[in-house]
Amino acid sequence: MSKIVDPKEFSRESREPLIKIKLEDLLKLEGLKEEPPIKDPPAAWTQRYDFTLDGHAAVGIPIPKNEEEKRVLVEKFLKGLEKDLSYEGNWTFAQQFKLSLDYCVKCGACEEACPIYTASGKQNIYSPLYRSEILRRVYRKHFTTAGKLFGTLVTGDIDENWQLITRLIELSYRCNICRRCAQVCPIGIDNGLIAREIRKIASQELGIAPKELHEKGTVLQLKVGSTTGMNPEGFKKIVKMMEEDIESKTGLRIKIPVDEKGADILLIHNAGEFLSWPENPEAYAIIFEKAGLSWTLSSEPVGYDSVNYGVWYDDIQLARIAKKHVEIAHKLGVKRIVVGECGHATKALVVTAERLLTKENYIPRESVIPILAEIVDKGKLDLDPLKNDFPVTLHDPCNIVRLSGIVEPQRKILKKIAPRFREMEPHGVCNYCCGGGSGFAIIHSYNFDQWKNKVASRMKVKQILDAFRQELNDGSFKYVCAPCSNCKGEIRDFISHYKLWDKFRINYGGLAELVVNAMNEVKNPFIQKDEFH
Amino acid sequence: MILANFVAYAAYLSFVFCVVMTILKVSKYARAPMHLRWELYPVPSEEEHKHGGSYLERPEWWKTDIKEEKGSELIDMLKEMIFIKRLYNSKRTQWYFSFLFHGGIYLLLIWFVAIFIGSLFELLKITSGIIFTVFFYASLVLGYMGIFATFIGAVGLIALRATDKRTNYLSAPVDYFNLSLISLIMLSMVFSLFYDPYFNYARSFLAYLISGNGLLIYFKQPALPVTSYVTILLVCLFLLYLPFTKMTHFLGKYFTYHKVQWDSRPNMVAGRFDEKKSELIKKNLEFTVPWDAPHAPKGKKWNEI
Ligand code: SF4
Ligand code: SF4
Repeated sequence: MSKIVDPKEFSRESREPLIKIKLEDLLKLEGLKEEPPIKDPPAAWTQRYDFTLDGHAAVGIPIPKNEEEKRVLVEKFLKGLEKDLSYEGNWTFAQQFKLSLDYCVKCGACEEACPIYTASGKQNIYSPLYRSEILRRVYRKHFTTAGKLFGTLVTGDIDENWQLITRLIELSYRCNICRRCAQVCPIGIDNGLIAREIRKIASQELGIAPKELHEKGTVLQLKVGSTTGMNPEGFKKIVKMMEEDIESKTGLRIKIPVDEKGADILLIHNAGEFLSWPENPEAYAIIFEKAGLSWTLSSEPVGYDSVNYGVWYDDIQLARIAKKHVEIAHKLGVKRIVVGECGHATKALVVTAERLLTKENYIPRESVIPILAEIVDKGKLDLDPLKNDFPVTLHDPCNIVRLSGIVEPQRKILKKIAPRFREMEPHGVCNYCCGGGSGFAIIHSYNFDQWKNKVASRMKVKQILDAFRQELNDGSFKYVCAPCSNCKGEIRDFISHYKLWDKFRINYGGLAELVVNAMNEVKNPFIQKDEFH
Repeated sequence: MILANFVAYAAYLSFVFCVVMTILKVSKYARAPMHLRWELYPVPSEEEHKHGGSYLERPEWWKTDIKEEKGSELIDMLKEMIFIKRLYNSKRTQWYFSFLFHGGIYLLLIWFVAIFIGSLFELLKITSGIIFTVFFYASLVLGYMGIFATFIGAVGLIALRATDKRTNYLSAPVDYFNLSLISLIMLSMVFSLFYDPYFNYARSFLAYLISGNGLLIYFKQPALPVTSYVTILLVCLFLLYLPFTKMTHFLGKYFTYHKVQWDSRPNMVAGRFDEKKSELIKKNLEFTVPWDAPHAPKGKKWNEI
């Protein structure tokens, strides 16, 4: 059993991390003989930023220079917590937040459900319960009558100094907000939500967030149009390139509609697809055209990037981006917005944003996956499943399954077009996160990639190795189908880290690519079996 | 006599206090503005719930009729309430004791109903007949089973809490206190059984309370055994304490399940917009942003951000 860090130690002022990640503690990966070692962070980082949680940093909070800075940090956090507990300050989530703080009975049932806790070798600081309990103690001490009257008898030991605050904020970025823990909690406590509320307090009150989520994320998206930095001109150029690419790959001449007023569908992809995996939006262009749908892309800033990182850390940014997506759709006069293969974007725009829209500005929104399933199911495409005669497994993005309830359509498609499809275990609503959830896939600061690969993604690596157990070493091409841009980003990272392509020829990609690969009309293979990118 | 009156007053007051405070507590959660959607699948009331799915699996879902299967929601709710299904699946050792504990409490609640009816018989001077006999024996079975199950469950849970190295360091003294208080009440009920094995005193005391005679000082009231007084006073203490604790999680659960995890109803169903929801959303968007970070539009309304 790994060392237990008592909550009292959480506020220990020291430059030493509370725990160190060691390879021998981590979940064993059967079939993998070796993996890269774990490196300590360089002193240049640890002297300036807080690495004292676990020797890693996603946020990298600068160490306060003096007592005044320390005091302000604590004070602001408490002020933020107060606002987050009020219905006025946090109408969006205060009800869930308060319930989750008030009713945990500390039974520990949630611990084993957490892939991060389990994969870490049960490091207690990663337990869903631990993070919440640190915040809960601060909450009880300052914001409940019982805590004020009876002190530690009710709250347990806690000292909310600056060190506790910086560690707690960093710890909120050791949770994928996959909400698997909430699914097993008998009381319905949501430790994932608590992690998100900590992030919110940090962002909305203290202005602290990983730069990939905030400055280079939502702020950049609202300013130039996309978190990739792509502006409308850049986007239009890419669309042209995609048309050429489609023609050279498939021989099909497709005109990708952009800014078509009055189209039925506004399709919004995660803009990361255009840069990293253009074959996915290309596949949708082919499928939608062949199925005869009335659709368009938008070249308006934000209209060509479905991402909404706000759903991971900040309600204000979440609302601003969702509002922008809806405005663009109204301007184009489309009847509905369809979100491409991106889990968090689906969850943000289709589910969470629902209650930001009134009758006056309402527009229906849906995921592209059920539409794709309907096209395949109704036989609108001439498909030959044997063209996909290689082992395929499906990664379920948490935001698509557990958080949006879209479970069957992707399976219906795979059962039709991939004869060697097999499930990972567990799957569907009980799936494990890829490790990239809640923004991890795009956070690459400091040594966070190391932590992610070693801990957050470890359970998924194990599942993939297990799913391909039969053919693991036979040199055949294997495909992890991940209908989500962020998941693909994370899977790409860990395939490289563990050398799964080099060792086992495990590759990954989206769902639509498999459909196009099975199309008889497309003569050359759409999925390249000899390249990994 | 005076003691009986004191205990009766304590019972009335603690009961009323507990009810009022619990209502206030519930209303605190119920008053919350309609939050953003944050459901968790499977949602049992949805038609697709068997495979964990939702209406979002349907193309153009807003044009379809999204039925709410209240029956399957009720079944899931009962599975959770009675069998604590989630705990059964995720932490079996804990579940054995938790099931005994909660099962015991449910039995005691039904026992209380049986005793209540028995006390009505007493007030109506009914002392025989088939219904009287059924309730009499039912109260014996329920009472004995309930007391022992709750006691064993509570002690087991205390022992688990203290010995589970993975979680015990997170327990505050109050976590032990809550379970200990219930164990103590059960223990005192066990002692009461020696003097009141058929719950006859319990029935007469309840009749005394129901009739309102407990309010009348110097009303003739048969003295109870000391153990019964101790039990009643402990229960009073418990009632005064309960609303302030997380032991009211049976109420919290209503909200976490119904108002959060299972709250997936969209604004538009079968092409019709829910006007009431639209009004609630408009009201929410009138809230002013209080946040202080540089990017936060402090002082603006949500519909202006
Ligand atoms: S399962 Fe729920 S009640 Fe139990 S410790 Fe975890 S959050 Fe708390
Ligand atoms: S939300 Fe997921 S990652 Fe976060 S604590 Fe729960 S199970 Fe672990």
